[in-house]
Amino acid sequence: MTEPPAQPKDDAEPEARHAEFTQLYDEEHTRLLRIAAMMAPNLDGEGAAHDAFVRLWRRWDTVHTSKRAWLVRTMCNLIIDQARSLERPGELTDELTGWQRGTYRVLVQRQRDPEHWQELSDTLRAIGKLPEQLRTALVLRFWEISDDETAEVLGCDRATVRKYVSTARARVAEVVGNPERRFAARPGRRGRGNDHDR
Amino acid sequence: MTANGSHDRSAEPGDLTGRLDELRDALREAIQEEPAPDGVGVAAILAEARAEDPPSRTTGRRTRPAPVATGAPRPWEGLIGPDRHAACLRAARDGDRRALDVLVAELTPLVWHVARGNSVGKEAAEDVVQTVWLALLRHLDRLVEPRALVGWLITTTRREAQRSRRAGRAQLPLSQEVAEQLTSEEWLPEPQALMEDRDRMLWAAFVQLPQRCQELLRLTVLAGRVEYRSVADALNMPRGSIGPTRGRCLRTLRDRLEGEEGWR
Amino acid sequence: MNAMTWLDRALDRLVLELDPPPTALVDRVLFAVRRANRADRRN
Repeated sequence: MTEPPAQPKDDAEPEARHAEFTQLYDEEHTRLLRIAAMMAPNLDGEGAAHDAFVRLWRRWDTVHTSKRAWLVRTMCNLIIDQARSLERPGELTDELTGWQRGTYRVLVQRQRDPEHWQELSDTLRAIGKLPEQLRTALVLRFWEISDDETAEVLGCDRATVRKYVSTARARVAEVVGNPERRFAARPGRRGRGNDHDR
Repeated sequence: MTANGSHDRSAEPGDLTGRLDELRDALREAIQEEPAPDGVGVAAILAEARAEDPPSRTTGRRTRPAPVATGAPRPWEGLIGPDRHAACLRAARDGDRRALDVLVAELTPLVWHVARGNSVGKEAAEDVVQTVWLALLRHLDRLVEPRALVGWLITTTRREAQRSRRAGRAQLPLSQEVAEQLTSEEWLPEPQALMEDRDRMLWAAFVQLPQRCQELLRLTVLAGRVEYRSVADALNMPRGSIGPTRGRCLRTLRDRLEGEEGWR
Repeated sequence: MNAMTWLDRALDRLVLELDPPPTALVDRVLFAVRRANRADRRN
């Protein structure tokens, strides 16, 4: 028996890396989908999550900070890319147009009482209209990403994250908390009125 | 889920917290934790990326190679299972249209059963199948691990199936009766009249199993055949023994049937 | 034949016989793929 002179570490490493990656996937995949659904229910969150994992795997050894924060940031960027390509119809893929047609349908499943469903989707819509940073901060807090990680995602400090979250909450409450405005926003496109009266 | 009464119309922040909590519950229900991760999701990711890959791959529009003449040799001939599909994928990437045709012809049943196993109706399943193949065409170059093609197809189909289900559901009126009617009715295969009673009961029980079980039972049926050896590979199932999970799903099925009037 | 074996075989048969992809589906997909391929080459 000749013992191979090479460091055994080399053989063990890919295995360990694979196991770590699988564990991260199993633990975080669903959370990512939920984050995506809340950030942009009209876009292909599953595709964005998948692509974020692909990119993370390619850079596995070079991501030294929180891998979860890295994933979330990458996925959010991919979602923003998707939103942009909606503005350039030439780049639309079947998947994306499919998702777009399904705007806000993520909630339909069990919420069969129409009024309740309407409330939930109004809330979702109000969140969707928040500026990027505020929305991200709110959604990540919502799905139990720590403020430290959120700070990493947004490239700011923790105090700023807290400020973003409270501003975001205040803005959402402004839209969904007020019955008159809520009802006025309901019939179809007239909901856009919300944009003007800030 | 209770949907009555408790939503008051006041504008104080407490109202917002309640609403957000409800939203969280709804999203948790709509997007559920995978009951038992089967590794196919990870396999599909690895199919697209090896850790050793250079960090930045150009994502520009690919230039497609010239078409391959119809008389050219077929590198996949004589191969089976993952090797065959990998050879086809490589040839397709090099512009061999015949190779893509082979993949579509041989693996469409797989894509179909994954879609059907994820509660997609027949008509919608046809659309799902087409979308998945077109997605493969676009992603030909991204699959750096051609042997993992089947895993990639399964994951992409699951995702597309889920999207299709959501879109389909949204077109229904939001009434429970309609939703329930649809799930049972749509499921019975057409030549129902020709089926024996036992078969009919079995099928009816089958379509009421949890989604993952339905998908798995369909996939293992395929994996048990030589032409679909790749499926067993993708699901990490030892060949020949289709494994304990199928056994568990079958037992669930049997238990449900035992309770039925007229069974046996 | 014991119940489990029967179930196993019956299910095999049902899945393959009762719910195969429609015969025209492969043709439909091949057509769509070719069209997409051509469109891609033109661009």
